Amino acid sequence: MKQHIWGMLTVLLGATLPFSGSTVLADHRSGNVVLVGGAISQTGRYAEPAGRQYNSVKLWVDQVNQRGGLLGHKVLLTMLDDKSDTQTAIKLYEKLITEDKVDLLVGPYSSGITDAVANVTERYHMPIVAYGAASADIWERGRKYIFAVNDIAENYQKGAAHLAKQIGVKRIAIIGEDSLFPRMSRKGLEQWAKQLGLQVVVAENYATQKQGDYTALLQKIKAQRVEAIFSNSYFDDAAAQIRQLREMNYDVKFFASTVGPGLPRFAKDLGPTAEYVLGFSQWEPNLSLGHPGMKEFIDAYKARYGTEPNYHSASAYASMQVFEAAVKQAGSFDREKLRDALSTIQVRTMFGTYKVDEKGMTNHEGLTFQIRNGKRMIVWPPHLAEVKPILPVPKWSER
Amino acid sequence: MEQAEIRRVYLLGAFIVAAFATPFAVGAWSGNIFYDRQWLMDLITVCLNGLLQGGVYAMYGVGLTLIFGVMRIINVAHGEIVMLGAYLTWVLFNAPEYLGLGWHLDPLLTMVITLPIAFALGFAIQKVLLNAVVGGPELTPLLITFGVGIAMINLVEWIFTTDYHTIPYQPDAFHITETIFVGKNKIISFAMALAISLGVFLFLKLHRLGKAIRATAQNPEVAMVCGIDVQRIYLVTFGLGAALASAGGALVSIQFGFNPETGVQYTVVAFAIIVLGGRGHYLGAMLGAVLLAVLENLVSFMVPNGSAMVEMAAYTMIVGVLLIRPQGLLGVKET
Amino acid sequence: MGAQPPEIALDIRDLRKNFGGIRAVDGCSLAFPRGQISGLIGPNGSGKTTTFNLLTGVIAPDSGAIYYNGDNLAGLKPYQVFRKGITRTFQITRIYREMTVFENMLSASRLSVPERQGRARAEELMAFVNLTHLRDEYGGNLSYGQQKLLEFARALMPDPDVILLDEPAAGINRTLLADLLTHIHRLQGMGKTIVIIEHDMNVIMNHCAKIFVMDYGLKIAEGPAQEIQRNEQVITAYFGHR
Repeated sequence: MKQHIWGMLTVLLGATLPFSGSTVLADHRSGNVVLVGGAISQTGRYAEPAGRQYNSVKLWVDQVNQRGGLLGHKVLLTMLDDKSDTQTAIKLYEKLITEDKVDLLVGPYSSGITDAVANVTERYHMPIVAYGAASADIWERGRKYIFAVNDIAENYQKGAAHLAKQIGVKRIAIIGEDSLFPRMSRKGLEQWAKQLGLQVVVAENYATQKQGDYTALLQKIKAQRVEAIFSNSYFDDAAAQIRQLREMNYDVKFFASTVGPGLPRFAKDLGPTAEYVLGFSQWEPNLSLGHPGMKEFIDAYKARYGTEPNYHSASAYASMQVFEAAVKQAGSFDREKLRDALSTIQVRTMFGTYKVDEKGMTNHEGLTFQIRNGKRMIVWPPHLAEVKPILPVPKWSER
Repeated sequence: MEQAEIRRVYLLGAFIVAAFATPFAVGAWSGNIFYDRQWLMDLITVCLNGLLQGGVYAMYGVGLTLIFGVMRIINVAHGEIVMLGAYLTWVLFNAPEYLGLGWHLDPLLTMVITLPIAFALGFAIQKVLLNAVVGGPELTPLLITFGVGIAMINLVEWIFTTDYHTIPYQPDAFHITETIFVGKNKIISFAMALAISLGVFLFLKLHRLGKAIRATAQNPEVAMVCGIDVQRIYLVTFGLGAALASAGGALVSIQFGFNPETGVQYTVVAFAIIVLGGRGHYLGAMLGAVLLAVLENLVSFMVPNGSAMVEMAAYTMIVGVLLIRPQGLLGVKET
Repeated sequence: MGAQPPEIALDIRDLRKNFGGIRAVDGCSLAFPRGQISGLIGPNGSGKTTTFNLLTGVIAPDSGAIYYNGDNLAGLKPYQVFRKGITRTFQITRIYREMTVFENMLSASRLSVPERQGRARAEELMAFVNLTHLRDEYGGNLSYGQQKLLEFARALMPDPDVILLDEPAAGINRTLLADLLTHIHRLQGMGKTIVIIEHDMNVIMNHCAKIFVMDYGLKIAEGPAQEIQRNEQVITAYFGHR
């Protein structure tokens, strides 16, 4: 009974807070400052890609302040660490909104955490651009204050599935970590497989908290005479799987992973074993994509961090560009006005064109690449392909 | 042996046989078993792979069981020492390359350097933090090592970031027959694990210092009055445990990806192994490691969506064994 | 440093040990004669075993001194006391149950002694206490009396000068006890100093040259058997006021 009352109180509070909150403007802060805040995984499992996104946000803050700030206000950034943990992220976003009273909110990393945090931001009517998320589910729940920049998880294996069809693959296996993003990627792939006539022979999720021997799973896949493996994986699992395929001398027509191969370390650490692996990318630092401002962004990022930006960096930077344009259009930091701007505006960013539908989703199209001589070369979609893919990949014994 | 105890041993045997038969039954029922030669070869490969993996598991387990056996300390930072061992190996592997020499140091050769470093680290942890609390409440060393683990994670994270790393060592397949392949690095890892574990086992069995360690494990008070410097034995034991963990780290680095936060996985595996094998029992840890790894591989191979059930199967086996024999497979009842 | 008379092997002066307010040993002074069998008696809880523990370094005294061959042993670690030539047995036998009789023996070998010599001595001592036939049996499989013999033989491994025996007679049968006493006398014949804590008054009164009586952490009497048997204070300590 007691809990019941508390639950009701929380609902009541939740309902009244937005009204008091929406009147808060940047002017309430001394020194003409606008506070941009967020929480991202600076430590933990997601720290690698999340760190790249944080880098881009910092880069943008410095640049916008050089340009004279947002609507004449100096931008101040406060970025907390959610330790790659959903519960921590929820608490931090509550704190950012209610205690720190940030004016603009930037998103966390990973679909799972974004989905959880969206419940908080939605309750307070705080608009966010979800640069760290790609699961369509997030936008299927009637939310009004969250906007996408990325291609959705369901399409991460779309290019690889089309390539499989092209080279006549029939029997495929879908494996991946047992968490939101890989599950969404699997769901999308299952639909593409159906549409393209690929037969899913093995479909399994695994717990990644294990130390990473996938040999038995791959042996099971081999026993089912699978021709191509689609792995919805991050770095450690993707790296272990491709190595173990080689150790087993199991020649598949290709191995396609979602996130892992896109990380620069993948090709570097694995060397020849990583060759011909297919991977997915939202964006590549490749000027032939032809988006405006790409070169400036790549140069600035490289100069500051000593490394090339990857798609994680790019989507975060693009989100900040979108925010900047939306604030300009709204002419204020009012949450509702910002939301309206974000849902109607069209912005050409260095990542691609931002324009959302009524759900808040974009039609940004991702790329499929193949690792060739240690470099990620775009092979799909055809009109953006840098090289013709080498498929089926050469046998292990012939490398 | 008493009648009841003999019955217990039979029951234990029956339970383990049942545990290993279950994946076969589920596999047959779900159509994951093919009754042909090719599948049989696949099965042999999987079992072999389990055995090889057990070797690496054992490397985590023996160090932990040694420390627990001698001091009754549960070293929660054990996995972090494994992780540190992996990093040390990786650093030394790449060091000549960074110095512009254009070649890599053999990861197994690096053990000549990494094991003494790990030994010294373990020695120092014991000397500075743990010697004062041995024999006291069990929670105190648990909290101390927990803190040490966190400090190590953050230190490594600060130096190397949270990027994953791996060493592409001997990535090719080793052809046992026309149809059975296993990774060369796995064979090498297993051989290393076996050599090191047996080396330490023989040291404990035959060398005077090893005997003193065993004596201390069995009864520190008697050891004391029998002229053994127990405090020094503790230092050596923790050093040895850390060196074993670090050797495990070297094997991790040549087979799998690691980052500063993967340590906890190794602690969990090591802990499961020593509970299964018998807390403080050296050979028990090796046996437990192999049983656990082979079972995990069989489940993953034959059970539908088995990869997600690996842990469930492993812990079911452990709980079952503990219910029948609370001291673990080879453990001795505490008196 | 106080001069230690040559006829005294272990000279304990004003030894004190408190356990959280309980004075286990409260300013006790004892002088165990060299080359003799001494008895240390007293009611339960009078501080006898604590005195042994203080002597062997298992616990450190709060104050006081233990002179032995001109050195003060107070505050030394157990292994240091052992290396000086003082060994002991326990009230409840403490052997390694998972080691063989032979391994138990070897565990008490001095590190400075070569391995081969240690093995020879172990064989010799097993023969001395008639345990040779159980050489490769696990300690845990021995009878209680055999475990006592093993512990006793093990205490002799480093060829100590002083041997402290904590209730050697408890829990063993008459025949074995007679054997044990024979061994003790043979050791005394070799010039060893022996101190026995014992509740079996037959053992104490018939075999000890000098007897020390403790009560409440203090020495209340010392002397040969006949004197102790007539001592009023001792009788009071054991039986209370009549």
